[in-house]
Amino acid sequence: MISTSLTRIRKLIRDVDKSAISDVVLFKLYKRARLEFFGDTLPRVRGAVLPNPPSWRFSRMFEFERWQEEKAVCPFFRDPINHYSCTQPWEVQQLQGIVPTEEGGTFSSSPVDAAFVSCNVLFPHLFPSDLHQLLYAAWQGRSLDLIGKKKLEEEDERWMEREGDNVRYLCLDWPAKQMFLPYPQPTGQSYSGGGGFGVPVYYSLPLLQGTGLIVSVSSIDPEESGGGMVFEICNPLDGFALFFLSIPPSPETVGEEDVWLLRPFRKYVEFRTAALALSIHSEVKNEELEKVYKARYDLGVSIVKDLKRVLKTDIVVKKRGIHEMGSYSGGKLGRPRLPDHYPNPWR
Amino acid sequence: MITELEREVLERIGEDETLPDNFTGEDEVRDAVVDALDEYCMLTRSLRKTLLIPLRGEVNVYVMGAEDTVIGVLGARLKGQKRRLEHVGLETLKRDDPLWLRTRGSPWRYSVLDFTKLLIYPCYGEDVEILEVDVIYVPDAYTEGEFVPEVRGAFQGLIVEGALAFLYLLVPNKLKYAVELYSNFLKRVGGKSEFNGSWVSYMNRIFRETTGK
Repeated sequence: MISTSLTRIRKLIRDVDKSAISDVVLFKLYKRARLEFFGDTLPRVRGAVLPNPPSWRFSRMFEFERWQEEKAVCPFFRDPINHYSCTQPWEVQQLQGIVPTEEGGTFSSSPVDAAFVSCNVLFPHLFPSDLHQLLYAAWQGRSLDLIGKKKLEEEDERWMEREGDNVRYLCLDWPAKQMFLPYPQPTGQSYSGGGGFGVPVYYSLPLLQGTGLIVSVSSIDPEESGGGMVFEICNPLDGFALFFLSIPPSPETVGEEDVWLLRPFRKYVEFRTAALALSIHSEVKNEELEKVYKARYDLGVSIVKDLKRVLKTDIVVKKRGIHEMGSYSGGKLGRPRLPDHYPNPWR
Repeated sequence: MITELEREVLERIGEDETLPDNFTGEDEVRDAVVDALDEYCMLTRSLRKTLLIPLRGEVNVYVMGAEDTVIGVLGARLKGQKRRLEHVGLETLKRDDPLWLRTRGSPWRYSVLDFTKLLIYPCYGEDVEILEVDVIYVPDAYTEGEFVPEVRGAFQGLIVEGALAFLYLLVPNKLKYAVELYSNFLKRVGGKSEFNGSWVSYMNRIFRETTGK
């Protein structure tokens, strides 16, 4: 549990009686150190299936803002994730005096405050929130290549209208790279849902947040729970299968187990938390201790990175494409260092 | 019950194992020994075992190890067929077979995704085989009554020194001694394996800065 780690950190910073730093502050520092560790070492690769449909038909009440004198503009167009949808045909179902324009904007000829709109829009998919770097993507079992929006526009200027089940690319250049759009759009998919007043559209898309692992647990003991982790089986052929480097979210309370952080690595997060506490809080400030704990953390990061190299999972994502390092065939890294000649210290 | 290593640590810090006064109990000593064992295993990669994974139909990815932490995969083979699998990366799988997720058959390749996940290609259509995976691992932290890793006598001193380095970090005015012990621990581990020597020099620099020597 995290509370055990916090107790150890308190011993490290000589604040066992909690006189200098409260539990809340220390927990915040722990979360920060934990994120730092995951960011520095990227020890987790996760698989997920996003079973959501690529296009979305929905009805939604929109609030209109008065624009110019007697016109209103639908705020939907200003949603960051929907800026591309301006070119999509809108079906205005129940809207007095509002007509779609060629540019895709919907304007009202008379001022109205709200309207009920039914539309069929291409939405980008949201990646799982813990995604740090995408390693592999497939649609219904077919591997996809990654492509930028600019390059796709160069190759096919009407790419947003293309439909078909021969999905080849995952277009990534969406805001903050948290979303993607398949090219071409798979056909025959629809979903009915709805949003409410004042709620950004993307908050009302829970189905887009895929969290299921592709796999189930299976080891010597098939019944093992893996320390509280829940694995569910998702069929990777059902939708978008992704493998990605993950920075998993931190537990919310100190009573929880940090299941994503492997036990032998926990002490490095503890050292980093201690170093942060010693550098920030004047009551426990101690440069000498801080330096030693920071060194222990850095050493831990080096150890984990080195282990990753031996695991042969080091993946360097270059500007275009994914390249892997650490093969047995020599190269810069050469053969991983395995202690074959080393005497076994275990009885 | 106190272990042999814990007893030696208590002796080195001059504590009575039944009535320790500077430390609140066995937990701190045990934590320190476990930390030293963890670090020793990670640095030397000397502890190995074979995992048996029942392969399931339509499943490509398997989780390795429930309690122990796998830190390296030496190889994988199908137990029934006595055939080794070839290691590849995800990118190779994608290049050689863009539809690899749909392919079914007897596995002949594997890929290590991270410290916990192993991917096989292709997967079976049904449950038929056991996969043997040779791994390097760090044992789970031992607790009362559970399996305690037995360390050869020649290496006990090393583990004790590592544990003392962890323990003295918690004691006021013992920081320099703790750093010195840890530096020695790294040096001794480094002298016995293909250990990355730069870490020793890094800790030595910290040691010099903190002790002024």
